[in-house]
Amino acid sequence: MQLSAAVRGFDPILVVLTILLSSFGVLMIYSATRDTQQAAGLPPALYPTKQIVFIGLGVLAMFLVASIDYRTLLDLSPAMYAGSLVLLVAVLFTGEINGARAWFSIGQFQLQPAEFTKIVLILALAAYGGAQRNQLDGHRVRVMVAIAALPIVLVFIEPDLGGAFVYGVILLAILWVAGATARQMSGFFVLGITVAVLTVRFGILKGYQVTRLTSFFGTPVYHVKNSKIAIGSGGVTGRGLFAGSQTKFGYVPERHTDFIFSVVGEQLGVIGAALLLFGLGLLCWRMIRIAIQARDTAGTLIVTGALALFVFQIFENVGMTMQLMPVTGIPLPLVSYGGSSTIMEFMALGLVLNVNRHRYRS
Amino acid sequence: MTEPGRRLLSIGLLVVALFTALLVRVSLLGTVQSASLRREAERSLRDINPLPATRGRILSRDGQVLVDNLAVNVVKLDAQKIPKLERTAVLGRLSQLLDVPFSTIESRLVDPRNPRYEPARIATKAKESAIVYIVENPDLFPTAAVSVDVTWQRVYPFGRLAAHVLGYLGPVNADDIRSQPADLRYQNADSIGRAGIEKSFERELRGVPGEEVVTKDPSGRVVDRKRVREPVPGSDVRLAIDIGLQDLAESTLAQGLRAARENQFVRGSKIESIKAEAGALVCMDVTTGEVVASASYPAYDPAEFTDGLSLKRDAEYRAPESHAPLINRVIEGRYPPGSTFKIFTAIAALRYGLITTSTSYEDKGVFEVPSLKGKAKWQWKNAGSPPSQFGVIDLEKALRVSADTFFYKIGFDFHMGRTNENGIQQVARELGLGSYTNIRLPNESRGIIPDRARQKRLHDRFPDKFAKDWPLGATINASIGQGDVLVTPLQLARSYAALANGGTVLDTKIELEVIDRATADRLMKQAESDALASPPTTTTTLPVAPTIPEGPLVSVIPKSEFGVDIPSPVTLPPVVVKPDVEGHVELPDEFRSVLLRGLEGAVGGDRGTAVGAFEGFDLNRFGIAGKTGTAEKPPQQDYAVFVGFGPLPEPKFSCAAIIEQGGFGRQAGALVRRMFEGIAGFRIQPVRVVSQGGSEN
Repeated sequence: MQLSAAVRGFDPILVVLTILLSSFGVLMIYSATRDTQQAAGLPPALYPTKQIVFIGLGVLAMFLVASIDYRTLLDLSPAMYAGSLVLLVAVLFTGEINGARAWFSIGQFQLQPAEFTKIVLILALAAYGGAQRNQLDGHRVRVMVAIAALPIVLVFIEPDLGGAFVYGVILLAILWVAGATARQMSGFFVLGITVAVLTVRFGILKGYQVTRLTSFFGTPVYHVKNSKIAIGSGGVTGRGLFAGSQTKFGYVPERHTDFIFSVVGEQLGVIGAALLLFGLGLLCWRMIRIAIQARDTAGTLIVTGALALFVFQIFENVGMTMQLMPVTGIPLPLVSYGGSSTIMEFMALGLVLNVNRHRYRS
Repeated sequence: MTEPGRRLLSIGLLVVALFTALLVRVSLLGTVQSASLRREAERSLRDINPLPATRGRILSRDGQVLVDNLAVNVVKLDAQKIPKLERTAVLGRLSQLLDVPFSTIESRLVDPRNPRYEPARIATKAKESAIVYIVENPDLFPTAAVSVDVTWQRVYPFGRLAAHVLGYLGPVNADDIRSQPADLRYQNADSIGRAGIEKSFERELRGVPGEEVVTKDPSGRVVDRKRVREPVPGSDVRLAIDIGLQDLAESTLAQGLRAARENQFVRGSKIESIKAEAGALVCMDVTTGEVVASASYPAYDPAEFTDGLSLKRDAEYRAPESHAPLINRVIEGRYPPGSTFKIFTAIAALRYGLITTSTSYEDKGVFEVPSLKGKAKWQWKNAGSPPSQFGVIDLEKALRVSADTFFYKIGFDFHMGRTNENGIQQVARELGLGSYTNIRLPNESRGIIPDRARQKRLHDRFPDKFAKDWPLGATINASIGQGDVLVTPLQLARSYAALANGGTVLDTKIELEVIDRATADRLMKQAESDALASPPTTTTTLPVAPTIPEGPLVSVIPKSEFGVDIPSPVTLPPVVVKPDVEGHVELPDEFRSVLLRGLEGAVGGDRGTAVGAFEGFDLNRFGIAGKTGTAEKPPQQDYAVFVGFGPLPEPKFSCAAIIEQGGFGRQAGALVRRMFEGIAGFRIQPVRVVSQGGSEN
């Protein structure tokens, strides 16, 4: 009963797209890693297998999130927010992995609190911003900025630059839809630019971060150069699954995670890449539709937050593989390999489905 | 629509814009830029590696392998493939096992000459046991990082023998790569001939490397190899050098210098011991121009160059007290010919009618001419203190006893313009002096035959240093091979060869032929089985005159002074090399017979200048004509020169010897004598110390 109630009211297009996109992701992850794994004498299907597990966990989390009335979640959001902050602080005391303190190691698995904070932040901002319709005065804006600022600073310390950006974009989107004035928005824009310039200028960022951020103006860094070569050498129709030499031999680093789009480009060509973008675009369109149809502002803001999360991650991730955006460690939603991020993305979609389910209920 | 709805629509427009941007970008990359990016992909993916061609061997005329290739083990290390934590341990183990200092391994790893992505060579000629140990212990020497390879290295089975002829290799430099034709594909880490045959026959010996396309992953692991062009191995070069005569020449030269030092050099009232620290000895075939033996002293060990000459050795070789061992004095050394030049003066005098074959002249030991100012007289004296006096002499005797005054007179007459002023120079040039012998070896000198035109050229360039006029003294000095006259030992041998063969000046040849390796191997194998089938009694490597006993020349060499046993001869069939004629000098029999009598007398006649050197040599069985020269080169001691040919009456070989600061020409004669002992098949005796006998010159 519980399950059928949960399934009822789900947007079928959104669900089918989610399943198609994440299955496509598994295939691409396999295609990206099979040969190098084999060459290294490791199980060739290790990554896709693990990703299937993550997707399974994600689907569970999605049902879980979707099945609890979002208003309950909004009520719980202050507690979740506080819990997230505790985790974000706690994670700073763990050991460094890949040069950042961003992961809790639990047995074999690593948990990245910054990912789940994205969900919590969406809920917290929606709860606060949706409480009073169309009355977003300066004070409330400042409070919302403060709500986002704390986790932004904490993940910046880790450092997880990409995460900080995602939080900022979620904040901006929710503020805008919640009714912030154009003046306030442009103020944030100027503020954001100033902070960015100052951090780069005064060396708060690490050298490699600056190089990655600025390199898209000139000579691309190794990752991006090889990613562009991979995508370009795929041509219109691609070299075929498992076939591209750049991604197959590992010339593109992180090709199963952050640079999965270059695998798509090399192996499936412009056609494959366009289809993928089309699918992702469709997903965004469904979210916008659900956001508009939501029964209350809080619901609209939740979906807005999820939309911002998806759109920014898609644009940033795909953009960086083609030297359109600077390189930050942001995965491609539903497609890239990753535990915490995959589960988080399914949870975000769970929120969207949740809002959709409850749009007609009084 | 609600306000949030409108705002969401504006976000929707933004989303459309962003997705459009991505779509446009990916389409551009995949279409317009696709071709160039694909090329870039191939470039980063593929390496074109050369497949080295086996370098050709260098053989002696009878087929002995003088320079060969030896497969040597090479241990290579790819620093990137060693796990970081094990680096020190692995390097330490290699250092110990291969006996290469740790720091040397480190520096070889970062040597910028290593090709990109290629493992660095850290040891060559590693012991077999070390190689086995490495291969059998992959846990100690990670297979991905430590590899064992086989490469070819130049080896010299006869050690230093013929080092100056063979030459050596050195690593290519940027200039070589630029200057060599692109189709020869010189690459970093290649070797290139730097001296001798290795240099002058670089093209033939080297072959053309093949090519393979190697596909690699970013860690450098090879995922595919495709041979796109097979290497073309280099050809063998078969020299005119006879290994037995070469060995004899080198031992003779070394012994000869020691013998020369037994003499004393008198300079005014001072008596010095003879220095004799360097010299050259060369023998050639007077009918073909083939150089059958060529020795230069001091020599070097070509094996020292295979791994690159050490800086210490290089410095030693360059030090003045080492007397430039890298120089091949036979072709690079420029020496005053001294009295050996008189033969040209004599020919000129006969040709231009200054004398006849019977013109007589009274020698009083001094040639005097009134000075232009009429006060004192200018004098040129015979050698010796007091100057030797020979009384009434003719041309034949003048050559035999080497009477200077006779030739001073001729020089004087030429200078005074009684006939062609440059007659002597003309004859010398026709006989090949002052021009290349065209031997195919690097750095041949041309020598100098001075005349009025040269004096003018020098004066125009350096007006302070050189007088404008060609002085009488210069012609008179030139008439006895002094002054500015400079010749190489090979030029000298060749000019006398022309005298011996009736006037034909030949290009000299250091090589007989260039043959591909397969043919050479087949011929050698055939010769070996022929030798087994029939006893080796009739094999003759040199078509020698009938007076010479039958049998291969090598058989007369008991044992090399350089400690190498010469193995039983593997004989290549003789080849007939067409001589290249450089020119022909008109030499009427009437002139030639007188000149030959003079030269024969110098070797075996009364008061002949070289009789001491040839004492005990059976000139009846093997007649020799020759000329000594004692060339002044102040402030150094006199240079000893001898050039001669035999057997008379139909000479086959011409040999020239020069001992720098060797004191007396007759001492150089002793060297040539020993060469003819070998050629004639006589018992080879130690080089004798010639302190007296004959006249002084």
